[in-house]
Amino acid sequence: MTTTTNGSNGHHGLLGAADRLGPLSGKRIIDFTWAWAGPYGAMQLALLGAELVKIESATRIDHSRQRSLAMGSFKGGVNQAPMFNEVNLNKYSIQLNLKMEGAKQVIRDLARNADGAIDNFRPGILEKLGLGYDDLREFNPEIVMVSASALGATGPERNYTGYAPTFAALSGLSYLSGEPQEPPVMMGGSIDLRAGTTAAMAMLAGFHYHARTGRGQFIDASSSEAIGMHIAEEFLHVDLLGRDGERLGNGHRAYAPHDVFRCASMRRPEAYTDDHKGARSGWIAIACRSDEEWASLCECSGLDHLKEDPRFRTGLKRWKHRAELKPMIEAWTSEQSAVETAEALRAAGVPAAASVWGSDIHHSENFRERGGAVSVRPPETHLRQVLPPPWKLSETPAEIVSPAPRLGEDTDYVLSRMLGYDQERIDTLAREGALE
Amino acid sequence: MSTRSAEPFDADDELGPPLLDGLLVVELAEEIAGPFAARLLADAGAVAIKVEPPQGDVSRRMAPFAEPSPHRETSTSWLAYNTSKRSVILDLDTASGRRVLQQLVAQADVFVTDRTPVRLAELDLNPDDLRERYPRLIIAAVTPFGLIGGAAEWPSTALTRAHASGSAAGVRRNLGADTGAPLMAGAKVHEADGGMALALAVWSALIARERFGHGQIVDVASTEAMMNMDRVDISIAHNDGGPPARPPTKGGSAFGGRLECSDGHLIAVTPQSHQWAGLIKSMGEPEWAFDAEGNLIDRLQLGEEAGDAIEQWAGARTRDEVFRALQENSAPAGPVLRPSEVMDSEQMRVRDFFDRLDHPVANSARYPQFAARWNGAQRPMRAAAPLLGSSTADVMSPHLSPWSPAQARRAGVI
Repeated sequence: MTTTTNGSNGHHGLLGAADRLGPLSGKRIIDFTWAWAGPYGAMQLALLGAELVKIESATRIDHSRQRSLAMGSFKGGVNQAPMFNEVNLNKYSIQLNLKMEGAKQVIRDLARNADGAIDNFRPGILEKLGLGYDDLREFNPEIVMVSASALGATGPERNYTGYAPTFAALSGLSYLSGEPQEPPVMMGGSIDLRAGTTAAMAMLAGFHYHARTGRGQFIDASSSEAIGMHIAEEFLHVDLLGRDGERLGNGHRAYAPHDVFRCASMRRPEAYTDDHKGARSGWIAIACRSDEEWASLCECSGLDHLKEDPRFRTGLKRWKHRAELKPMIEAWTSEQSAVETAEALRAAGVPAAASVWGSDIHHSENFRERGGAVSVRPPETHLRQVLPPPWKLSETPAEIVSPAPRLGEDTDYVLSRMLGYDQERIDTLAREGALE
Repeated sequence: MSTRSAEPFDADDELGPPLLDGLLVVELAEEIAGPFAARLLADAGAVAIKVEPPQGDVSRRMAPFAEPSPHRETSTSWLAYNTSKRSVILDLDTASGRRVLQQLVAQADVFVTDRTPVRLAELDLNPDDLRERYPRLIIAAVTPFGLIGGAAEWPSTALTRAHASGSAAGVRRNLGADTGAPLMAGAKVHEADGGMALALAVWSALIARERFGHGQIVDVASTEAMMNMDRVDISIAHNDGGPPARPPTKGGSAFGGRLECSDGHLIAVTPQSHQWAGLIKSMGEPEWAFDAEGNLIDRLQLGEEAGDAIEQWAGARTRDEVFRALQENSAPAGPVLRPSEVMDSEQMRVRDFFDRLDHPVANSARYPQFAARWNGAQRPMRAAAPLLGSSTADVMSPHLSPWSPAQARRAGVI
């Protein structure tokens, strides 16, 4: 496990302190994003080694410093919000009031030497400030800019706004999520991170293109389309089958059993030591795709008699009688612990997994064997264990080197060290209110 | 194979070549994650050669099919994740089949695979060996639990992966209670996460190769890609013992809720005060929303009755009426659309999000594009998924391999 903590002089000493070069080391990106989707998109570029200069303002605080859709209002200070930390690791924060001319000039100066810019404003907002792509490219024709909005920068709904749950609704995913007899599910924050992943990929493609051709460009990304792109097959159902798909919950169109079953506990009783933070209750997911897997499940579970039951003899019959099957399997799992039972089933060749969350993910052996969590200590809060980046690159690794910045933590550093402003100029900007 | 374009582009407004013009991708992968990643590269202009066993990718046998009876060219799962590729049949159970695959990999820029370490070793495609043999090659693996670690060979399916990653628990938490069964989201979206993470990592490795001159191994565990999508709430659960499950969603609470309109559901999310004001304005500014001085009352200060009133207002209108009214007043909202409604929406049509691709066996259909427009690069022409083995002869041609189709056929490779 690696640990990164803030030094007393702010965290910019940590930034750039990665053990090895990342794919984007030495690249600088102006990060205008806020909330979740945009910041996570930008953060991935920072994990890959780029310098992300996040533009913030006390006059317009990134609301992930203050609230989240899952938690409601956050009671702590703006530098303590856990959700902000998770989507702004490895970044610099500069405080700029973009309504002030002096602040705009800072952006232009940043643009001169930046490789990219990313924003998730409503289309037209940056242009109104005189900081849109056409403005920035005057100072740097090779800049790559990704603008990620709810529905894209063109079209009749370009000015509409949204959050993760509306992106999922507008893409078709919500309609298809949930139990068959229940209403569609309102999706949450994971949708933002999917949209952010799409925006980050768009930027990487732009950087790769620039490396090949020397050309910068504007990239218009839609968060609702991003979710639509994740569910491509559903649109083929419409044109090729003449119908929309349906909600399947944990079920499958052909396989049974294919569900989650309640367990007596997550782990065996002896696993629950005093410092164990995982869940007590447990669920196990089990899927049988063949008669062989079904036979193995029957043998492992002591439900041997079901193997001979004519209702369950073939895949098609199991699927037809899946509602009868469920309580029979659950009668067995509800006496078992999820983690160990899943282990035994997998050893017998049956796809199975404990359904985990939070600390149980951190407790997983495979998670630890692959390097485990990274510890970061945001300056005004406690040590936190966070998930590592989702990619392992053998030669240019992605690394978490710093917690998220405090609001405006790097204002002086960016102005003096990155842009070479002298103290007098910085003082003038501060006096004019450009650094609020 | 060089990735640098021979054509100079001087004019400011002229579009450059497609994003991945000239790149060669070789794919040995099935189902969704690996094929989706290779599809994203192929759609962006790379030449993607998909290596299939004689009976074809397992997706070709997955229901549903465009035709009433199963047909190996018309599975919608197959069609969705394999556009713009070429298909080559190689029987990897024969030594000569494995040798041809080696030769393909030797010429590739990117080798996309979903095979686990044991199988890769059997095929003489151990990632570390490939890394040594072909220093510029990007070996891009997406496996359920990663190449490294004790779970690498675990049996799994889309269901067990969604639960093993925390993703299914994350979906359940959106429902306002954490006691019910964890729930996989629909439409195979969790599987797509693995493909997206891999494609993103490949683009990163391509940048690194342009800059530093070498390839590398990319190891993506699809379950880790999924868990990263819930990294915020997983962190809060682990480090802070929270968050509490989502607050009740009655009446489209401040932090998001599902409303039932006359023709289906709609999601409204109004956490900021100006958004809440927009919702109230859409409703014609009812009295209960204001205090004695005429100031708008904060959403969180209002009780159940506000939720009831909002539900009643929405229930008397269509999704579209509520959607337009809210958005015109800056209140974020979105109707819960069926996929067919997404395809018919004016916004998606104006933006050409779907393009129509012809297929010789399945009918022509609309396929979603990448969710971004690169305004400086040409959009390559996409093609529907290839017929099984349709490029076998081409790929066996002398400029790619010493094997002629006749020799290969005699050797039992194809």
